[in-house]
Amino acid sequence: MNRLCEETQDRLSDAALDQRTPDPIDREHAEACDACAQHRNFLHTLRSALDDVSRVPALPMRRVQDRATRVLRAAQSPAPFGKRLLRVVGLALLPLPFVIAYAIGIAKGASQLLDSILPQSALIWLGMIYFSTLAIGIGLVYAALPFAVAQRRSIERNSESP
Amino acid sequence: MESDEELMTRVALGDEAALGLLVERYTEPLQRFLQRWTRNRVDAEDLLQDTWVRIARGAKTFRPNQRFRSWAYRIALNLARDAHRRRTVREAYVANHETAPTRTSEDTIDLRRQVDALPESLRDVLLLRYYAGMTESEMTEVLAIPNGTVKSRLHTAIRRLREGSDHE
Repeated sequence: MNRLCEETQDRLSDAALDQRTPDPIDREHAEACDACAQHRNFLHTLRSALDDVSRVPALPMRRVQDRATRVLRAAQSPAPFGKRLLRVVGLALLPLPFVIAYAIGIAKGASQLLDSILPQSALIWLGMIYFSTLAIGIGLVYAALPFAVAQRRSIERNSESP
Repeated sequence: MESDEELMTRVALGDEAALGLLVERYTEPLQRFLQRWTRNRVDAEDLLQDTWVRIARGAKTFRPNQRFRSWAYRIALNLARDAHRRRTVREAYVANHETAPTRTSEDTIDLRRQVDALPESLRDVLLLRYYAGMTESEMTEVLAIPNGTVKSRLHTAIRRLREGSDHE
């Protein structure tokens, strides 16, 4: 097969796969050349074989659309409160070990510094005040999380409604 | 007319009408592609539904700089491949469900069998080109293979089918 036939057959194949009529020049060549005519016939059969599937009844569009829409709606709606809160609390717990380690470090440093100045009982009292204040502060932060999540959901809902 | 990508950006924001337009544009070509890929109408319908579910669910992950068509066909193709891998009794299933050919010549039926028998890598490019009308660069995105490979696979697929049809 010469180069011209090779190129013509490639173009005929492209036209068949693109489901369009070949260029007139390629059609003329295929009429005059046996090898290219055979290729064109083969492509014709191939198109018939592939087109056979087009005769299958299409799935009702409405059904496809309804299901996809339901999924989209579910994907757009905010996550349930509990799931969201769990995620937020999980995130908020991550820095807790560092906060505690830092607080202990501060307490130890302060205790060493004040050890020679203050009596032991005063140091214990100061330590108790420090740690209880810290515990109350951390407790308040975690207790505020459900309210923050609820507030956020409410803002999201309001912005979604028309 | 809004482009697929513009519609998809709207879908990501929850626009159901935009999703409806995409469904209208792509359901039929996707169904034809899946049907020929799976060789089975029931499977193709299930996969089509699953494809749209994935598209709707993953709308937020769609990047506007990618082509919707490539993205959608990649989802469909991956689902079809997964389903094919899961199936262990495929041959029996196909025999029971395959769409009965309508009045077609023997050559056409033989060639259809040859298309079905092509290796997956060759069949993918042929079907994406024919049913989705994809360009080589789009197929490159869908199949994650270089442009030259797409070209050579398409060429090989045609050559094999031609050889097979010449021998019969």
